[in-house]
Amino acid sequence: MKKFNLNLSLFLTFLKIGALTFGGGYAMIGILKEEIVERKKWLTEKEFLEITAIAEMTPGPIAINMATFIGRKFGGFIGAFFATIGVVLPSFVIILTIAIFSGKLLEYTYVKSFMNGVIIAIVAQLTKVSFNFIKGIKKTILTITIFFASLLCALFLNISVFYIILASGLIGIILERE
Amino acid sequence: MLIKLFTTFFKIGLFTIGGGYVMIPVIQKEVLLNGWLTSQQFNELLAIAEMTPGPIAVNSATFIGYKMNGILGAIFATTGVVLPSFIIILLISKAYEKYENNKFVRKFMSGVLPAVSAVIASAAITIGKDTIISPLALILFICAFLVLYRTKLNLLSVLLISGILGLFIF
Repeated sequence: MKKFNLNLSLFLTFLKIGALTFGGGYAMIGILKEEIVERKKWLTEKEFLEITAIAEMTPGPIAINMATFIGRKFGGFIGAFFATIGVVLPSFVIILTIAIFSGKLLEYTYVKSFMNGVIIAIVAQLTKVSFNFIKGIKKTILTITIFFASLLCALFLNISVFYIILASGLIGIILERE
Repeated sequence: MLIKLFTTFFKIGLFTIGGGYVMIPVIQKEVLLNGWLTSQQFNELLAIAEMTPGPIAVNSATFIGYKMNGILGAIFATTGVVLPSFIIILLISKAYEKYENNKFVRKFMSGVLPAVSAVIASAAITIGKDTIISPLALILFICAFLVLYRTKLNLLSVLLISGILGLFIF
């Protein structure tokens, strides 16, 4: 029964996250952090960041990687399965509905305006979460340099996030003291 | 057809690292190559994906799967795009549990954490740049930020209120 509750809770949590993830994979990180770290307290901020790093370095959509990872951590294979189905289901149902009714929904401009408003709040949440993370990092010359170098690379160079994270990790291995 | 949809989206799921917008050119190439959508239909798909929740890869898989082969097509394409992540993460999370406290993993992570924070901050800047395009939008952003940062109001209410205000702004 306890297991059933856990899986149901994983499913419902990720269903909610799947339904709220407007604006792409990175946008969901803000929402997911609120739900998993602040409200449910399933993970600490640091654990959450480490899982985010892994999700960004593995193939496939970040939302799905996060769901599978967190689901497995708490509920094994079955937990991973339910969390992943949960995060995918809202897009699946919504897109299917739109495809069946051949995109009629989108002709209403107010849908677009509403979404823009929602996305602004999501950017605000993402900004807040970035501040939290930055505050949480141990500040040394090394970590501060990595932060600004990564920020500049992510903003101005057209390279995959994968390489930014990998390079930073390798620099950590070489330069971080015991 | 079902198998073709499944394998194509499996490939897309397997070869796109970094998520989100990295995937668009890959999906575009596969879809145009197979003649599944015209480029105008593809642009429509992008517009739909942008306005609906969920990963763009999943949105595309469901949409194209349905257009090509009905609901069954949607199921096969969506399963295809999700499966690589699912399998790879199951393996990685197992390995991570085992080596989490290894000295090299700890050092690696100490370099990774500031980088991931930077990537998330850059995502906020990039998405913000495309949405905060008028003074009113900027005011909405600042208000939403202050409410989220200073009060305990839950995120869902802030998203809803911001969406409703969006109706008057955009």
